Amino acid sequence: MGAGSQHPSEGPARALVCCEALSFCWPGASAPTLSHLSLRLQAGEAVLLRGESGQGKSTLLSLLAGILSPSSGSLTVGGKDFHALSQRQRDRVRGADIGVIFQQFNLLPFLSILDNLLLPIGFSAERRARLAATGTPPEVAAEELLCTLGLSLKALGNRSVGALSVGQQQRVAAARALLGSPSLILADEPTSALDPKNRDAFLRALKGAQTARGAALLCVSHDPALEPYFDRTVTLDRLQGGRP
Amino acid sequence: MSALLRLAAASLLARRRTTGLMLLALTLSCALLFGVEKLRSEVRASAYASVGAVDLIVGARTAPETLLLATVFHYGALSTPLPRAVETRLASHPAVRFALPLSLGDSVAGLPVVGTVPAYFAHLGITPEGPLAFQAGGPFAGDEEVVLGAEAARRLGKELGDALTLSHGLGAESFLEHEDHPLRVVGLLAPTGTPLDQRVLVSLEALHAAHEGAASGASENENISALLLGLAPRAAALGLAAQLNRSGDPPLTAALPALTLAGLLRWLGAGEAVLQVLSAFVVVVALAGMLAMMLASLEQRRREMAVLRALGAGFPTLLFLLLTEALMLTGAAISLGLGLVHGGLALAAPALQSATGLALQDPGPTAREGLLALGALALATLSGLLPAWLAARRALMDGLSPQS
Ligand SMILES: Nc1ncnc2c1ncn2[C@@H]1O[C@H](COP(=O)(O)OP(=O)(O)OP(=O)(O)O)[C@@H](O)[C@H]1O
Ligand SMILES: [Mg+2]
Repeated sequence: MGAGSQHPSEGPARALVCCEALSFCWPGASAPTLSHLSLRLQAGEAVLLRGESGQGKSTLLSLLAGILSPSSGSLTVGGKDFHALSQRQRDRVRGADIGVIFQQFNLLPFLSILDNLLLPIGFSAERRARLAATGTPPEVAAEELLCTLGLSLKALGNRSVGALSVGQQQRVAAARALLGSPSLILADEPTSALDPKNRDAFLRALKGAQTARGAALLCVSHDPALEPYFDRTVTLDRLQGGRP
Repeated sequence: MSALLRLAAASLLARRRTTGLMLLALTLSCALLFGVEKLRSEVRASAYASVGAVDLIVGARTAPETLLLATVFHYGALSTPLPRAVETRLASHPAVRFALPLSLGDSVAGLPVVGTVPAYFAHLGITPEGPLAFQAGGPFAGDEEVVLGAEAARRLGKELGDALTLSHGLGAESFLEHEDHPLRVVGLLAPTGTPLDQRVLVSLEALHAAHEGAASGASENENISALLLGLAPRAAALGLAAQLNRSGDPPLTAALPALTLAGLLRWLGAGEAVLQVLSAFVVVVALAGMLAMMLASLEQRRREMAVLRALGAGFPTLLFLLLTEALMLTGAAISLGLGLVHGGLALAAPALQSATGLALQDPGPTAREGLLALGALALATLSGLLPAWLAARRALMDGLSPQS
């Protein structure tokens, strides 16, 4: 069965992310890491991506973010055909429309919490413009986002990034990813450094903020306990229908 | 853009210990570079200023360098005297604007005594053509008066109206003191930053009187040491020099001071070049240190690059960011180095002048220093390019998840 049959009811035009027969081979590697992968992500949807270690989940996120370009196959994000774009244009799309959350070390230790939060709108004029159109000053918008994630700049005070707990850092990272309303959030094992209690709090907050803003969320995790928070779960094996 | 600059600055500040050490090394090396350059230009400027408006120096046959060193820098002695008749002869030459006789070889407390004529002060200003500037008083008029250079006055502790006695011969041992025939200080020259500052200037007659005792005055067939000529047009110097150098009665040497000085300085230039190359090497070494520091920090900063990449930073942005760090560091070092040299000079100038008599005129950074600074920045860009390129390149390869 082809991977395109995941959501037969939805037309491809409505999909936020759409890739068909996507393959990627790291330079120097003997076999492709990803081959014939198909994936569709609707706007506002939250999808959990599972797969064995080393199978290529992070690689897929890099492809979707436009950091790597596929060896073959088609990839469309937000209606933009990544194949037709230059590296710079893809960088610009990422800055404007995509929020990324890592497993750890999301924040630059030499910047204050607020400066970390405001980084994306410093990098992308489009994001800046989108935020300005809401009429909310960036600082206020950042504080509001932190609030929905259960944090407050006022409570954290002038603390340096390094003085935050890992759970707090992950929430600041989530707030940063969401600032300026990108349409797609890519999260690479964002909870693997958290204990179960922090993990649940983080996911609830992230899901809440994501739903409220109508962003699509693709989250990589090994942890089956995360499934209830997502609309559906996909595995790399099933996405790569062409593979045995 | 300004966000990137702030990012670069914040990143540098976060690594303030290594950054600080690097800045120190770069600053000191830049200060050395600028200091050597300053010294070089200062020595040259001072040497050329010492020549002043003199177009030709004439003496009894000797090497032109000897003539120049003895008359301008009081280094070495002129053994063969020059009959004063030569002055009379040359003064009537149509191209000669002024002919100033010099009588050298005496000293007071180690300061050279120069016998000359009052016209000396009208012609030998340090700014070409102008008269010499006086702090107080004016030129000597009679043979019982003396004018002191700024440094000479300070060292002798003499002021206007004080009395001074001369001794014969270089060195401290004085001859029959003519306590009965002291000279009166009538003028104090303003500092010039040239050997003139050390001079004690008297009339030829006063010097003669000191030698012969009060007995005789100036006579027609007395001897002088050399003649300083000013010419109009100045271009006549070459022809006149050739003509004088050929003359055999008496055998003469005519030296073009600027030309002779350039020859001496060219010889000095080899030493300067060594100093300059050495100081440039010190800057290169410091930049190599910066390069090593940046390369060493790249591994630690891989995550930082991945985060920036995730936020939309592309290859040019990362390259710009890392290059900016190198340039900020070097720019700060250059400014601090310049500040150190010029600020240090401003602070040290009074002490230096009283210790060596060297009056440093520091008009601030020169065009050459600007060129050196640009060179250092260009070098920093080149050396910053390598780590910047490596890091930005690798950030592209790393994707979102650097494997460390
Ligand atoms: N920068 C890289 N250069 C070369 N090969 C890489 C690079 N990054 C990953 N790979 C290779 O690609 C394959 C997939 O790696 P990837 O990080 O995408 O796996 P993953 O599914 O995210 O694993 P994990 O669950 O451990 O994070 C691995 O075999 C890995 O060695
Ligand atoms: Mg991974």
